[in-house]
Amino acid sequence: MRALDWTVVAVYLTWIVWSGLRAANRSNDVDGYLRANRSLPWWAVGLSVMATQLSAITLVGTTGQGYADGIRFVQFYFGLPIAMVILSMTLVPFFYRSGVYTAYEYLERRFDVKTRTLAAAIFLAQRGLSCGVIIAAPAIILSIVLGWNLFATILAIGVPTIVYTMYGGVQAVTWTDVKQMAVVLGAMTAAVVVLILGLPHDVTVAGALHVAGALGKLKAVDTRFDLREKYTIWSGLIGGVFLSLSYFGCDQSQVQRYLTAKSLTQSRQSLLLSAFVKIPLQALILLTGVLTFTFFLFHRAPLLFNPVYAQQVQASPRAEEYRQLEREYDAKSDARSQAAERLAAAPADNQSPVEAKFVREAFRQADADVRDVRVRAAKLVKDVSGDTGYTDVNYVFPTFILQYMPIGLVGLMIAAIISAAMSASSGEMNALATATMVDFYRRHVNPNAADATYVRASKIATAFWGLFACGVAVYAANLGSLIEVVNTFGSLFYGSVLGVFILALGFKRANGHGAFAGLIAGLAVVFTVAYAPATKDAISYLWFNVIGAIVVVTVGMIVSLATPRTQPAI
Amino acid sequence: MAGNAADTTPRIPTVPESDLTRTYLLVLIVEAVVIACLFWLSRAFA
Repeated sequence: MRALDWTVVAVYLTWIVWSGLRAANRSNDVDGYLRANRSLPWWAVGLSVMATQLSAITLVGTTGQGYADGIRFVQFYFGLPIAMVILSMTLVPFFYRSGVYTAYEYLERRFDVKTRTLAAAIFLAQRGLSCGVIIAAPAIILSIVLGWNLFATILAIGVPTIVYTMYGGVQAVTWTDVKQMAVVLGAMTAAVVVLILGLPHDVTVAGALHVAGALGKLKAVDTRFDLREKYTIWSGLIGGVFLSLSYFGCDQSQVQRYLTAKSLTQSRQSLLLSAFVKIPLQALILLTGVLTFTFFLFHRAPLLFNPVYAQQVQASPRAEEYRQLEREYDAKSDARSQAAERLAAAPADNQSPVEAKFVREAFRQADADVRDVRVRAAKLVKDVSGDTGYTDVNYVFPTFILQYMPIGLVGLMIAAIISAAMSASSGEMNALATATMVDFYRRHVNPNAADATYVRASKIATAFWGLFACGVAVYAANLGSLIEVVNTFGSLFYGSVLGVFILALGFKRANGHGAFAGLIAGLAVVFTVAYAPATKDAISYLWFNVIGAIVVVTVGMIVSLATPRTQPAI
Repeated sequence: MAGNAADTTPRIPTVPESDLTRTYLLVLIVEAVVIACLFWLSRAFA
């Protein structure tokens, strides 16, 4: 990074912290600190909802996924718009009109305190860990590609976020989210322009897409019904609806965003913004990854995108083996580049179907040859480093940024990655603090304190969860495989928590005993399905959300019917 | 026991809200169009 890039990053960090701290003036009481006095416009809340979901893992990982696997991951989001409509019609009016601060507060009014406390505790455990991973993932990548100290990188992301979230509360989170979304979208647009301008003169964008399409990277819709396949239209539409219902309807980090809107209508509109924008936005981020793939067809990519592992192998006794692979890779990359140029020009050349098929097959073979060398290089890394889970897709986009983006824009891209991490983690910290204060401190420890006491408790809770997340980030960074474990952690809980809210809204006869027993049973079944040897590879994780919800509703109703009817407080 | 004495958060009075039925329909139509476009993309550049 050059001085100008450092300046851009420094200006960005100063701007965000300053604008976050400005919100502190409007956060002097509990309602202002946790709910922004219900004063925010729908578009700001909607952008905040999206920013909280769009972490640096999304930005770097999704482009890497587009590079390696094409755009089929977009199916993961197919259920989201349907879920947003369902939530706008059902849960959102209940939350908004009941005047709650947290989703779990509503559960006590409908069921009982034990159900509320268990659901809130699940949220704290799951989100506390995931907040650490949100900070750890970009910190690891930035520290490796830029040679920064890992601990310092974690603090550079975590500390400014803690400061403005602690002092400014939900208003700081929302307005900085809006700015951070603008930075992310601006940076991604700049990256797409550089990627397109970087194509050879005789290769058009359509030609580049034609090349990517020949490898199936533009296959966005898979209509097969296979429970083992992670991403199909069915897992996206069915599993994705349940996942989105649970995440946006029952997770405090999202619920808190739309409780800050000026009115119920604006609260609904904020969710519907995501319903309109999310799938096209994710498709564009994945397409950026696909364009990165075509870019690297014509600009030699490194054999290993992770520079630390490349240096480690070069310094090992097997360095000569690696150099041999590099020579083979260079030759095969050149052959693939020529085959790609021929294929990209094919639509304009008016080739016969037979010629076109020959050109396409030649390119596919050349790409398979390159992939074969990369697989052998990855195996070499695994042997030398002992990291059996080695994959370098997360380093593809940062490598492009550092090697091919112009000065100044490199700083903007790094600011965008930091920005995505900060916007996602600030929403998490704010929600964790709110649940801690409202569902535990105010409910169980100090129910009749003054407003100022609750604001102070919320600030202390924000600082605690921020520092906890930084601690988890350091720990997760040292145990690389933990990141994957924690990333799939959410799906183990989401469906069961959703099941409790379905019981609350859809079944009048359901009572607190049923909801509590159902929640325990749902978690037990999902954990069994996820980890039992007979089932763990048979069902993809998106279906856990469906299973959890169904078990909770079934068991919850059986127990409710077997126990005395209760009168809800709402 | 349902509800609790310590829960003092005030309920929000009900006010008339806009009918968003058309927006909901539009969301579903836009989603169908976007999925159709993605399907076309994979066919057109296969």
